[in-house]
Amino acid sequence: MSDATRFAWDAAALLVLVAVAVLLVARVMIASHKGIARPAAGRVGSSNVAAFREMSIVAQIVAIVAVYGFLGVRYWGLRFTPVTATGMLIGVTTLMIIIGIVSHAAIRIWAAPEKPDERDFLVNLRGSRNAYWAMAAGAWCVLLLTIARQPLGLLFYALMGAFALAELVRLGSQLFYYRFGV
Amino acid sequence: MKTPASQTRVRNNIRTLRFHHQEMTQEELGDRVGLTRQTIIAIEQGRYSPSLEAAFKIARVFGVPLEDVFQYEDEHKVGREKSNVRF
Repeated sequence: MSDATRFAWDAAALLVLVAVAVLLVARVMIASHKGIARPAAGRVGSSNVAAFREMSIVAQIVAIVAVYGFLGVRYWGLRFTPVTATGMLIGVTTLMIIIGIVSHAAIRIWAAPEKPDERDFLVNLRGSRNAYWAMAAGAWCVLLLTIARQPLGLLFYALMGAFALAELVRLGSQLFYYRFGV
Repeated sequence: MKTPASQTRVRNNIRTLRFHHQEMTQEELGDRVGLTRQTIIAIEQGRYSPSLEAAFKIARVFGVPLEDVFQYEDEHKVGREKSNVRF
């Protein structure tokens, strides 16, 4: 089996796994939010479900952990050339875009996206600020690996890992701020 | 009383005021002041302190002064109130 075919099968399996995980998490989040959304005094709002943004963040975290985690372990030790590295980068990016579209279309069934307000901007800013530190640490690691003349594959993994870590920090921070306060 | 890190020291009466204004929903209030329903929920629960502009808009919706909607919890005052409690 060629690398491209192997990657395609892995991508398909991942799509199914992520879809199932997102559906399960969405159900749990909706159940946990029903008590919060209902006001103690006053009529119940028109929609009584979890916020679109929170579910979107969880979907992205699940996708990153699944895609980068699974592919990172599965392709560890693969001999990287500029061609395979480029192919992998394009493949992973495409897979993330597809998962993003599918998961957000599924989330849209339960929760409608709302226009961002001042709290959303603040949460985004703080999440990005926290992610900066993770990205900076990753950049330092890549620089040190480059100085140590490490192979291209390791540099590729380190850079992708830094991106994934920074994204996880950003999304995790945002979820924390949404759930527990800014 | 020490306020938890995630909780603000700004207290509010939004829930009560909504109830006294034709049982206004969180969504209606959010629409009128340009905030999402989730943000109104967060403000009511003390998980988010709104900007000064948003606070004034909320007070204006209910037709009351800002102090009638939001109060800043003084740590020393809270301590005194607790020490004055008689059993």
